[in-house]
Amino acid sequence: MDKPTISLSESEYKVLTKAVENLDRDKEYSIVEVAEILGEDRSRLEAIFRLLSSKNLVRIREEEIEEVVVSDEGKKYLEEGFPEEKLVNILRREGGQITLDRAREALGDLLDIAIINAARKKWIVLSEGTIRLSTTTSVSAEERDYLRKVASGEKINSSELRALKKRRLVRVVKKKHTYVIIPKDIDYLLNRIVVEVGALTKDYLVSGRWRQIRLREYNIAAQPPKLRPGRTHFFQDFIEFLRDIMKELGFVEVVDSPVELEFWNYDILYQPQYHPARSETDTFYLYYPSLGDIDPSLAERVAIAHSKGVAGSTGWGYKWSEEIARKLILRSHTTAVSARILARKPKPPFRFFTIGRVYRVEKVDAKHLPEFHQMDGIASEENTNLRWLLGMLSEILERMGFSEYKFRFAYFPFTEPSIEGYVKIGDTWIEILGAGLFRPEMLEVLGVNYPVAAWGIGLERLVMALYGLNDIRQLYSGEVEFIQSMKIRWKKHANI
Amino acid sequence: MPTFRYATNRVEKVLGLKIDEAIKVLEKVKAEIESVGEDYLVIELEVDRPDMYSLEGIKRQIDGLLGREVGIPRYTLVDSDISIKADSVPPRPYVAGAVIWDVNVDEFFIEELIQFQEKLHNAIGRNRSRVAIGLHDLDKLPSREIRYVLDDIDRVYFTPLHYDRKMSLREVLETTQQGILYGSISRRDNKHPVLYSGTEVISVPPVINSDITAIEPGTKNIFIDITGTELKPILDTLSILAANLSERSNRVIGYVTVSSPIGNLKEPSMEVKEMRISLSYISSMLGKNYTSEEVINALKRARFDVEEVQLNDVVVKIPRYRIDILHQIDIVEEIALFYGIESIDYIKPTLMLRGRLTGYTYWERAARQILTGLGFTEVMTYTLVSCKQQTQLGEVSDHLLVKIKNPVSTGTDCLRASLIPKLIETASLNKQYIPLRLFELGEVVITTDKNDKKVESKRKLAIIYMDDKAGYEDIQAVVYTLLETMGHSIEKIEPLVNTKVFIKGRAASLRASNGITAILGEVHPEIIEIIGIDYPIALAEIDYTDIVKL
Repeated sequence: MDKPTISLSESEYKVLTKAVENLDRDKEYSIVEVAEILGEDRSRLEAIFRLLSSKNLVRIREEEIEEVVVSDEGKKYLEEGFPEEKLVNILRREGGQITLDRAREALGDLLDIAIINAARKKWIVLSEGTIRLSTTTSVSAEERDYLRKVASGEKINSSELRALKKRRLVRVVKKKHTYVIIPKDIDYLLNRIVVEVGALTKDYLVSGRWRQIRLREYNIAAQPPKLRPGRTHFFQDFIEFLRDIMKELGFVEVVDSPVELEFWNYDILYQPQYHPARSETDTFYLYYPSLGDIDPSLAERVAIAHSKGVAGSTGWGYKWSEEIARKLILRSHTTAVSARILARKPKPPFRFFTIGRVYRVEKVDAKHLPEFHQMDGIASEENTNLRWLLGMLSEILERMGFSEYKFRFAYFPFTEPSIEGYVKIGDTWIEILGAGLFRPEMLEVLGVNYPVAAWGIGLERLVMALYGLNDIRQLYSGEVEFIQSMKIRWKKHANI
Repeated sequence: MPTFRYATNRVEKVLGLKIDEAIKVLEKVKAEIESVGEDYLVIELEVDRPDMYSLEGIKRQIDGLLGREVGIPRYTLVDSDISIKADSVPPRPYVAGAVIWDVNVDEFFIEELIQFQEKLHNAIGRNRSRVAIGLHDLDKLPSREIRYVLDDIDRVYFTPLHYDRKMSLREVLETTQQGILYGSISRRDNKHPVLYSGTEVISVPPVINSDITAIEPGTKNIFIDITGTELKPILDTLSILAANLSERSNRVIGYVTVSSPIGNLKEPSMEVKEMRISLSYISSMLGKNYTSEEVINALKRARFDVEEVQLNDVVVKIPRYRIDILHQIDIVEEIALFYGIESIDYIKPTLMLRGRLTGYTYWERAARQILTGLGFTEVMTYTLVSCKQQTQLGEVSDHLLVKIKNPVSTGTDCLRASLIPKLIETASLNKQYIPLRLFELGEVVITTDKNDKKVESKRKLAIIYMDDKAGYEDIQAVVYTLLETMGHSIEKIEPLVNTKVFIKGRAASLRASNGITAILGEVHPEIIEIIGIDYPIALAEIDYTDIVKL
C-alpha cells in the first residue's frame, strides 16, 4: 500500500504509455526513431522524456555528435546544377568552344569555379583564351551524389566528405542526440503512476475517469487575474443607505424637479427679496424659461407677510414684488420641496423627506461645485419643539453611524430657533446639517396651524469624509477604475 | 455668513477679556471663530445680527452675558444743529442723518469703521442699492445746512475721497473704481443724487464721499448720512450705526432733521418695541419649562428690558437696533441661547409611523441590481451641462432645453435633458477598459407649459456598451432582459427615424408596459469620431417617468 507514487501530468502519461506499447524494453532508440514510431513532434518528445527520466521512469542518454549538413552553396548547386556542368552545357550549345570573355558573360562569378573543376575532371581544355570541350559523354559532378546522400542523412566516406568540405558544400555542426531506453521494470513502475490533471473537465466526470486522476495542487498563493465587477456608485450606495434610515424612522419620501420659482425657494420661506443670496452672484437664474406662475391668493398672503407681517410678526417692512418672486431659478436648497409639501397642509403626525440636487453659483475647485446633493426632512406631531427636534436629529445621526455629534445655535431666515449640527469623523468636526422650527410667518402664509420641524443635510462633504476623499470632483469622476476601486462600507452600516 | 477681522489687542481692550476668554465667550453669542492669527482674529457673525457688526456691538451683547450690564442701555438723544433739506430724488428718494460726538477715531478704529459700513451695505443695503451710508468728519462740514438733490452730472465738480483733484461727477461715475462699481445704481440719464453742505459736495450716494469731509485718525465727531430706496432699512441701519458709534463715548446721539416732499423726519430713533410673550409659548417651542424669573433673567442678560405683567406673561422691550426680532419666536430663541443648547436634553422619537420610499426608488434599486449583475457599472455625472453637447450628442431639441442665465462656465449653461451626452463623454475617458459597460440613472428636465414651473422632470436610465464589436443586438439584449425581468412587457418596437446620434436602420424606439419608453441603437461613426473614440458604441436611454403617477 505504501509504495511511493509517481506523479505524472496528462501529457507525460500519454507519451509514456504510448512508448511502452510501441517500443522494446531495454533497447536504445534515438529520439528521431521514437518520433517516427510514435508519430509525435520530436522536440516535444525530447522535453517530455527528459521529465520522465527525472522521475526515473525511462533512461535517456544524450550524445553530442558532429553532423554534416549541406551548406547554402551546396543547396544552390543541388537546385541549379554545378558550375562545371553549366559550363559543359554552354560549350555543347556553342559548338564545342568559346572564348573566355564569352564564357564570363554567361556564367559571371561562377566561371572561375567552373573552369577549375571542369579542368580537374578533364572535361575541358583551356588555351589562349579559348575553352574547348574535351569530352563527348554526358557529364555529372560526382559531388552531386555525395551531397544528395548528406541531404538525405546517408553516410558518406571520408574521401567523399573531404571533396565536399573542400568546395564548402557542407558544414559540420555539433548536434545533441537523445537516446531513449524503456527499462525492463517499467510495468512495475507503471503501477505506481498517478496522473495529475490541471483542469477537472466534464469529460472526466462523465467518463468516471476522475477516479484515476489526481488533480494537480496549485500555487494557491499566486495572484489571481483581476476582475472588474459591475458596481453601483459608492455615492449612490450612501444615498440608498440614508433612504433606508429615513424609511425606518417613518419618513415618506417625496421628490420634485430642481427648477423652482424664487417664490417657493425664498419668498414662501420668509426670506426677504433683498437678502444677499437672492442675486446672480449666489443663485442660478433661468434664461429660458424665465418666469413661472404663482397662485394669486398665496402671493397676496406672502406680500402681506413680508411687508406688514402676519401671525403677530412685524414683517420685514418692504414692498414685496411679485415679479421678482415669479423668476425661475435652480433651487438653492431642498427646503423648497418641503415648502411645497407643506402647502398641501398634510395632517399631523407626518414625516417627509426628500433627496435631490441643489445649485449655487460657485466656481469649481477641490472644495466647491455649483451643484450638490441635499437631504431635507420635515415633521410634525404632538410636542414638535426644539427638544423633540434635537432628539430626532440625534437619532438620525446615530443611525448613520456617528457616536460623536453636537449642535449649536445658528441663523436661517426660515427657521427659529435654528441650529447647526456637527459630526466627528476621525479627528475633525464637520458641519453637516442645518435645522430648526419653521417660522410662524411662513406657516401662517401656508395656512399651517401646527409647528413643523425641518432640517437639511449636505451630502457631499459627508461622503467625502466617510470615503476619505479630498477632492469633491472625485464624487463625479467618470473613471471606472476609481469607482470600481472604492470599498463598500457594509461594516459601518452593519455597525461592525 | 459675513466675516470680520479685528486686531487682537482691540478685541482684548474693547471686550475687557484676554483673547482666550474672549474666544470662549464669543461662541456663546453666535459669533463663530473662523481663524486666529498672531495679532488678529477673524469672526463669523450671523446675517440677522447687524447690530453686532462692530466690536462695540459685540461688547454690548457680551456685557449682558457676563452680567456686567443688563437690560437695554440708555441712549440720550439730543438735538444737533444739522438739518437736511431734500428735493424730490426719485431714483433714491429717502435720506436721513445722525450726529455722534466724541467718537475719537484712531488708526485701528478707522479700519473697523470701514468694515462695519461695508458689511451693513452688504447685509441690509443690497450692495448699496437699497441703503448706502456716508460717514463724515462733522467738524469739516462747510455748512450745517445739508441739501439732498438730483443734479446734472456735468455741472457737479468735487474731489472724491482719497483723490487729489476735482473732477466732474460724470468723470467720477464713469472712470473711478467706485463709480464703475456703483455708478449705475441711482443714475438716471445725466442726473445723479448729490448731498451738499452749503455749496460744497460732500457725497454722491451711493457711490463715494467728497474728500473734504474725510474721516481720519484724529477725527472726533461724526456725521452720518444715509440714503436709499426704502425708508425702513435706512432708519434701521441708522439706529444701528448711531447706537454702536455712541457706545464709544457716552451714548449721546444727535438728531438730524429732514424735510422733504415725501415727509419730514427727526431721526435716529431709539424707541423700544414691546412684545408680550407667555411662558407656555416658550415651553411649547423649546420643549422645556422655564420660570418667569428664569425668563426675565435670560432676557435681561440678552440686553432686553422685561417685566412680568401676569403670572405667566412677560412683556419684553426690544431695543431699536435689534431689527432681527420680528416675532415672539425670536425672543424664545434668545432664552434658549442664554441657557445654552446643552441645557436641553433630547427626547428620542417614540411615535411609530410607516415610512415609504417613492416608486422610483424601488424601480431604480431593482434596475441597479440587474444591470450590475450584467456587468455594468454605475456612474454619476453633473446635471449642469453644455447646451451644445446636449443637442449634438443627445436626441434633444433645443426648445426643450432649460437654459441658465448666469452659468459659471459655457460648458454648464443648461440643465441636462438627456443622460446620453455625458455618458458618451464618460465612455471616452475609459477607452483603456474595453469592454466597457456603464449606466446612469437620474433626473433630467425639459420645458413644458403644463405646470407653474414651466419645467418638468423626466426619469431616465442610460446604458452604454463599448467594445471592439458593439452592436444593436448587444444593447437590445440588455434592454429586453432588464425590462422583462422588471415585469415590463415590450409592447411595440419600431425603427427610429430622424436620428442624429444613431445609425439609421440600426436604432429603434420602443414602448413597454407601465408607460416605459426607450431609444436604443448603434452610435453613428460620425459621433464616435467627434468624441475621439476608436470603438463602436451601442447605447440605450429608457424613460421610466410614467411608472409612478405623482
